[in-house]
Amino acid sequence: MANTRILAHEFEFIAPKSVAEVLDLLRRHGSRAKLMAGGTDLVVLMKMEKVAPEVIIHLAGIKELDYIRDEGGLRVGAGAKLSKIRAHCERDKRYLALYDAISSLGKPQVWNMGTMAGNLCTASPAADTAPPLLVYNGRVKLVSGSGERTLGLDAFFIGVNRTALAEGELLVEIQTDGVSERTGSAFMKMARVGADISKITCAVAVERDGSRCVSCRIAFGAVAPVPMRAKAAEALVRGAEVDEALLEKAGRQAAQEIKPIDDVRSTAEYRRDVARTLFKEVFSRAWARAEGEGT
Amino acid sequence: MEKKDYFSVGKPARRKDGMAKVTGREIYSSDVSLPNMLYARVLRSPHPHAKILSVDASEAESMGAVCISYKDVPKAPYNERQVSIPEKTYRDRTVLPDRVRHVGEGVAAVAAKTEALAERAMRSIKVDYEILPALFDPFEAMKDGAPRLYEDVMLGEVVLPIERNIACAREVSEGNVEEGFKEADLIVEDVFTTGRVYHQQMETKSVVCRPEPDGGITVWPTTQSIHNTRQLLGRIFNIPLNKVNVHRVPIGGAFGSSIQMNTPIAVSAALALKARKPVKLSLTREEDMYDHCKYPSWIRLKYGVKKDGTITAGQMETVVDVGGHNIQAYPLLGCMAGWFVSLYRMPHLSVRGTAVYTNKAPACAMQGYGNPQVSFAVESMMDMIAEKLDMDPIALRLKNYVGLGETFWGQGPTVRSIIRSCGVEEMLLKGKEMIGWDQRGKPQEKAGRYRRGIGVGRSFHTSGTGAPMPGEVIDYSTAMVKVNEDGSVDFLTGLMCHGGGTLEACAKIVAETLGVPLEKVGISPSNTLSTGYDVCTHATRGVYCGGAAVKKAAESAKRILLGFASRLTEVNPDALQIRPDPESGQGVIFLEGAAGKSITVGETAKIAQIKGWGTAIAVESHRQVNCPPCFVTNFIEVEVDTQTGEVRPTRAVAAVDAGTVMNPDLTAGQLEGGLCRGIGLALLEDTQYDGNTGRLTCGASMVDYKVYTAVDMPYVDRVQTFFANTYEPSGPFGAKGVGEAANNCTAGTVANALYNAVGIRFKDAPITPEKILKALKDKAAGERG
Amino acid sequence: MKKQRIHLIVNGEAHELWVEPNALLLNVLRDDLGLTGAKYACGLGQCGGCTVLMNGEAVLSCLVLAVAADGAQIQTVEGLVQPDGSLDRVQEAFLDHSAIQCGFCTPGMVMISKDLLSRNASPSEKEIREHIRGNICRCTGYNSIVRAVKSCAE
Repeated sequence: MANTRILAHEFEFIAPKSVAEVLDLLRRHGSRAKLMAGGTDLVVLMKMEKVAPEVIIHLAGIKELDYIRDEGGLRVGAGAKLSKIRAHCERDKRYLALYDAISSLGKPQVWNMGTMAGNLCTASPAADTAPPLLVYNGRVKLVSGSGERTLGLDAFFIGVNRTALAEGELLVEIQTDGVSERTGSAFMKMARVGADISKITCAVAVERDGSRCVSCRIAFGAVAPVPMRAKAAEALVRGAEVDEALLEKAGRQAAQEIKPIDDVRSTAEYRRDVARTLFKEVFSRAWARAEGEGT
Repeated sequence: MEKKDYFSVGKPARRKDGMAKVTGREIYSSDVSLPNMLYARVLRSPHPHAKILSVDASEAESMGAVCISYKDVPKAPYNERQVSIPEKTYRDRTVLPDRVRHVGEGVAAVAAKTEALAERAMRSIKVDYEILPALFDPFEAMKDGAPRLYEDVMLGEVVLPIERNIACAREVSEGNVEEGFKEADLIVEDVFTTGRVYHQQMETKSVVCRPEPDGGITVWPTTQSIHNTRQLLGRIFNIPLNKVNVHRVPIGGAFGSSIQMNTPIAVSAALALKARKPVKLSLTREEDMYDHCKYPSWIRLKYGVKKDGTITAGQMETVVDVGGHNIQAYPLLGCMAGWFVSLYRMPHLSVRGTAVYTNKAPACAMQGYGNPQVSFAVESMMDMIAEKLDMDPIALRLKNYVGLGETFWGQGPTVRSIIRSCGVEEMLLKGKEMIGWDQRGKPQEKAGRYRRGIGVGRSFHTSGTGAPMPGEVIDYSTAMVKVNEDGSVDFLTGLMCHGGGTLEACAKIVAETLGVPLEKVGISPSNTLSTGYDVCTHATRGVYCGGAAVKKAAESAKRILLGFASRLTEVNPDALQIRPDPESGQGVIFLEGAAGKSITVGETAKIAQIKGWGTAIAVESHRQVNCPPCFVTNFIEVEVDTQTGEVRPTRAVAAVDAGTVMNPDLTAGQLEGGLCRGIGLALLEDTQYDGNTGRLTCGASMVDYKVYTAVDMPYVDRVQTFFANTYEPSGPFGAKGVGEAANNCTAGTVANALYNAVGIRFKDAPITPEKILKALKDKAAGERG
Repeated sequence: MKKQRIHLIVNGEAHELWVEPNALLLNVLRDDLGLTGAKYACGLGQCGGCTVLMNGEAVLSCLVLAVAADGAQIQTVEGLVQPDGSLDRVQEAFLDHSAIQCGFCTPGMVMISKDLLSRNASPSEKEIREHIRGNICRCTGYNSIVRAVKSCAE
């Protein structure tokens, strides 16, 4: 049984001041090292004795990573705290699925501590910021000593708690596509209680022309080894006249695409049963927002 | 009896420990720090059932840690709960065991200079286990041929062989149940279960134990009974009681989990005595979740009723899975019978209860002690009967409830008394108006995705366990009251406050009795050296029993004080009164109608001190001779999302009949807290075990053991609380208890509300969204097919 | 592990401390500085009992490495008391509304309420409940706490 009151594990703690320093540290220490931003995931994992890094590289002091910009889409530095991103999305109003997701993630204390980059790199199947980023066609920019590359989020998540980050690589920026005026987005989660790991989550971004759906992205979390897009459901909705029957059909399709399991929080059967309802609700909210209705 | 207008009793006031709590300066056991203190850690069994063949702590010792295991500690078995009389106490626990019976049971322990060092030392200990087959289902455990978890235990001084893993059993009957069923027009029978809830009191079980130069020990434990802790430690470690000093320490929530002496306490005492230094042992949350839990229940209930709703007979059979140790299952079975028997009148009844050992965390009392479980079954069944008879559920209850003037045996068959105060009818009739009972509709009328339903439930708890004759459990309190030379007053008692305001109520009792302002009454810190025996703050006895002892002591101190005042005023003491005086800010002793014959309490005490007459101080032990029911009623409205099975409590009305309500603000808070925990019992909370490893499937942490948060509960203006207008003649200033009553009927009320919403009777708590959605799907399929 | 020197300004007082890299802020506050208001109740960031303000923002101190807090301003519930002994208005509100039962969650609840009111001087009940949802109270059912915080809204 792990002792959750103290950190029994011993390690070296380094607080670099620049990305270059981080890369150098990663190169030197390799798999002995883990990166820490807010610590809300890493410290928990260490306390539960699921990871035991010999070196912790603390990212919080790296000012060059702490930014949120818009360059035809979001450009969020890896050091930007969830609270800052949430506030930005609340003001901006174009990325409300991300606002919804951070608002229902954990608790306010975690928003003050944690980063979106950290949420993605932990790569829990239930990572709440992943579905919204997927529907905004999210990408991650990774740098290492030998250069940089940008990966779509769908390629970034490769398994439960596994990402495509290579040894020596640092996630520096999260990017999204821009969203048009006629796009609305939303995210909702289902959980046991008000502050909890999700049973199932859904995000939708939809571009609307009157009663017709121009384009649509649908993503689910906590119902597959990785956060996933429901592409067959998207295909049904894209270009179609949106009505109850269409949403019902798309919802059923989505429920078939997801791959939920039984776990301590819920069952595969339940998750499949509610996926349809959840999708319809999230879609409806995104649809209303596309016309400037509702919040 | 008429209710009087009191100046302190029944008036809201800032709690006296509030300043310390709100400024973070209240010191709980887990906050205590002493010079030269060592930190302890316990090595715990990874196996659900195993013999310990050997323990090798040599590496730990070489790190400088002090270590203990079975061979280093006293071996006599005990029961960590000392409330029952010795002859009725089942003893299967030792300080450290030579055989473990659940994952997480402590095997060995170390103390070292830092917690980190203790952790390393603990992990270096090598234990050789002989793994034994484990059992996780009480029905499997009772089958012939099942592995035996115990060969025998001690019952009092008798060696009691354990057959079929049955820890204990009880049967009670009155009349002839078969005859009673024959008289019935309708028989209703069903089985109800509740989960293995975890108390999740916010403070994990903790203790600091300091060895004294004279061979004694001083202890700062999480406990609900400083005196039982003292007696048990004194006996285990063979230390005279006057050298065992157990401090009353504020506790971060109890709910019954510290009625027994918690497992860290004897371990830390053993370490402290060996190390000759203070030792702190505070459980981690994970350890705490393996340490104790609420009694789960399996209840088969059968009622016979006449067409007009009169109950002719009732039968309850219960199987209780107690886990690896029998902490208090025997009195539990008696109480469960008592709850069943006292809810509704049954001329013929029979109760059979069986407690069974399994390889899980030991169960112990949690708010209600079987009453939430029994009430869940009974209140569900009352609604089921009402529906079959086409009768209003409230009318059915009013027809059959055990109330004013009737014989009541809430704590078990040996303790009977007549009910002398009862607010059942008032609460049902007023509550139904407040919730809008008549507009609740029938389930079959409801449609749409979101469906609301209103449920009713009622229950009670006994105010303590008092009785006219000695019984199976000990119950009395001792209190001291003294008047200081400035008119302030100290009172001293072994009673605890778990947060509900027991000591605040006692302060008001002192103030009211003596006639001094509440601000002048101080709650003295207490320990076992300075206080007389108080059995335990449990069983909703704090105010009714403990407060009565405080009142008695206050009355005695008052007599002495008035004797001094009489000498000074030349007025006969029987003619003197005391009342709070706003001008002087203290109590004033006076003769009605005589202007010149008054003197402050302070002046009197001061003169008595100077003249050497003495102090107005008194100590009294007091036992209440009965345990009147404090009744509770809930009305709860839920909204069911029929597409997801999720349930939201939307409105609630909670009422209690506590006689005179001592702390109206805190009592309302207890009702609100009881709703939250009761809804959790009904819909959310359970712990389950992996049948292979014996580990908790939730991982024993708060990541996956969830309780409701602030967003899960209805808004403040959607929850109403009120108190019945009653007065209990046998209680201090007419008071009864509140504590456990606040929670007892909630789960049953929720089940009834669910039925009213969706027309499905759920009998297995927790009633999760997964269960609800499945039932809705099955119902729809059944209707289509 | 080598101890590292850190500086913390706790409740306005500067402290120089030597801590191991794996020391947690919660334990440094409780054991090294004797500020036992913040509590260990779960250790995994699930209960909010360890909530303190770090650089003005509520954090879970059981998950903060002390070395990661180097240079930070920390405010604990003990620090809300004014030099003249008077209480912060949130503390007064908790007392007035009987929002304290066993008191173990109280320090965390007070600090998260301070965090809320510093961001939103007039929170609605919905906003209050959302903001304190990560702070578990097992005693009160939350209503008295919500009433207390509501009474502090402008």
